[in-house]
Amino acid sequence: MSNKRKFRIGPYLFILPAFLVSFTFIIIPLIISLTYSFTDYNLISKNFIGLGNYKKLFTDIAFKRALVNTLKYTFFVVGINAILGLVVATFLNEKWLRGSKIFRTIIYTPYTVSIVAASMIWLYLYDPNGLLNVIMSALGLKQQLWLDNPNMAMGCLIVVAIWQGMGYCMVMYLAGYQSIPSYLYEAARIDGASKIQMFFKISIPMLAPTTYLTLIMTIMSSFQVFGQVYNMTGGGPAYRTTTLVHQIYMQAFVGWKMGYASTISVVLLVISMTITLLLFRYGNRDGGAEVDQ
Amino acid sequence: MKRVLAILLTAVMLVGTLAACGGSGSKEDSSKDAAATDESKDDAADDAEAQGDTAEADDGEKVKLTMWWGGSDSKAVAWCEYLEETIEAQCPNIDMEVTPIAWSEYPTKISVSLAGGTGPDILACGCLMLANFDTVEHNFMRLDDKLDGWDGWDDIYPNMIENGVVDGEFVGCLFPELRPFFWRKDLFEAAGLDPETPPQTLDEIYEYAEKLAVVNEDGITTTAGFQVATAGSCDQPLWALMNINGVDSMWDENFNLRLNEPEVVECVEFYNNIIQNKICGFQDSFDISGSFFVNGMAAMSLNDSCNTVINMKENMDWENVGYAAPPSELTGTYGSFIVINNATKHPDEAIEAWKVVCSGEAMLKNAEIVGYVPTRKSVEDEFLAMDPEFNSVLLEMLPTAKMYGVSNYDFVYLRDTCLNPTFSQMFIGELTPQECIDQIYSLYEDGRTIK
Repeated sequence: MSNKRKFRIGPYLFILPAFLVSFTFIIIPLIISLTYSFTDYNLISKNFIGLGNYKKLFTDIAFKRALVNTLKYTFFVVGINAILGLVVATFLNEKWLRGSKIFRTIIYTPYTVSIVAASMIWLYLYDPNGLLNVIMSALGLKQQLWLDNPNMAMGCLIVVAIWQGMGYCMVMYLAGYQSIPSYLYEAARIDGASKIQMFFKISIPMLAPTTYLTLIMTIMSSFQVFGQVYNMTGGGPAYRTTTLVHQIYMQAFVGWKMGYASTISVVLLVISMTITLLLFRYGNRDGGAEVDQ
Repeated sequence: MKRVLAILLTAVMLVGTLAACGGSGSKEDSSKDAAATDESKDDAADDAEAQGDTAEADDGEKVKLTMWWGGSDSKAVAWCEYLEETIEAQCPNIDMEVTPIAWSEYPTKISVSLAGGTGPDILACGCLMLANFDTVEHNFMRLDDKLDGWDGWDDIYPNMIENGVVDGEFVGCLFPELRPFFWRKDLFEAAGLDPETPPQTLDEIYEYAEKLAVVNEDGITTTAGFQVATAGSCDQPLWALMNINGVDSMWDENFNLRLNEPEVVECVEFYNNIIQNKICGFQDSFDISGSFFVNGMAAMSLNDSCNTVINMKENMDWENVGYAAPPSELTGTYGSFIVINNATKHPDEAIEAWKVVCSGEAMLKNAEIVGYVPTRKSVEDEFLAMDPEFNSVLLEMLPTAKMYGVSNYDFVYLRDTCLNPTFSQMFIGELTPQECIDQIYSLYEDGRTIK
């Protein structure tokens, strides 16, 4: 029996168009951006400055705040969305719950709204004379500055992200639940396991692949947060809501500092890739973990 | 057979992908596809011609010209339509297309199109964008020796001509909007102040503002004594305060900042005290409510004579609004410059069209539709007749109004990356006024392009 595989050109031809598109619109711009990060390119001139831009990162207030804000935003949005999405999906998966389809639609709908439209909606709510403060007054609570309060502004943006993103996590977990064999729950029920025990001993381990995928997707999208920041706060007050992508925009298209903006984008790429690789390395991709007895 | 099929299918997909990514040859797609490159303008202009941007019409005589206007609301659309009709009527050899473009995307669109050599023949360049697009790379046509016999040299106010001068050369005609001082007469009366007499100095403004401000039990200012911006455009109130305090420029002839001068430090402290003492609440360009003053939530303000006044007349009791020239010899002006693209393929026709746009008749029409102030002395009487009381204030301000950003390439960098965020830190108490000024200096020196 020959172990030699016959070389086939067909598959390579089929992936060629996608590869060309990726190469043209992802790889080449990435390489160009990397080279720009070592220059002071500002649309007028381009001079090689070595690690000058990278050194500047350590003293740039805006970048340091953006990095912290992005990490904070990602931590809370990913964590809360994943937990809330799982809890809601668990309830909606229950057979006894009536109108689950309606709830599913209501919770998922914000995810379909464009970020600009969502930002406008929440700007109305957060306005000092907006609905939220009217409700606060009616309940006898103190009115708030919301987006103008430096201690609350980032929290307000996180709320918007949760409102919009939770539906996606819910749908992912609902799909994940469909892949869990029902005999596992039946067997557990026969053995006298409670709902809570079934949740922690069966659902969560079996949903590990879904959790892994959801985490990757939400972490990637959280790191790229820009829409809410640009439309709702402009990065303020006092750098409290600026993020890495927002700083890339400000440096490139407001300050015309293309070289420095490229540097920040390289940093963002490194952080994103590091997290992704860590998840690939330690994340449970196979799933189907042995159920705890 | 299978291999042949595979190759065929791949080729079809490849062609389809490339076709989907290709441009359609229209001006819009051309400007979107153009990237900031180092191509010479001649090569880029050849590309533009190949894409049909300046194709001649079938009758062989007419030249097609394009113009961009900043702003895309109904007024801007009406103004663009007027320009098309008027230019074509007065210049039968020109086929004119005037496109209104939303302000939010305008600077990027101009930047990309100029870099790619596919920009319009004429454009309205925002006054604060001119520095970026023209002070280092001269993207716009120098008009000094191209306007022999032009009536504008004598008809337009000298300071308005001066506002359009970059590096000693005239590049464009400013359509200005000014910043009169507005106040609420009813609130003045209620506070025991003379409703017909506005404050005349910084100290008086502060004194009046303290009496007029209203703060609710939650510590939120519900009526600002004096409206100032807290994010997005702090430079504009600062500039106005500097004028009131006798300062005529933010930088010296080498673009070194003057913010450490005592009169400017006073203005920064004034600005900070207004916010710290809740005389004005936080107001930025992101608030849906819009301008405090237009919404009846401010007692005094320096608002623009263009869009905001139109809003005021529509939404407020206009009879209850007092207005006067600000208490300063010098006043700031903003607006749009009408400039000609250096890369235009039809310079003579572009100049003819430009003259129509900058004519007295067009300026009056613009004042009626959009709200910019005509800068020609010959149409003053007609402009005054439109609104004798209010327009007389504008005409009083016009001869001394001055732009402050047009000459400094790093102005937008200064405003958006240095000044605005640092002021924001000062307003929340992270920095004192002097620390704020020091940080602005540091950021500016660290990042300025022109040194």
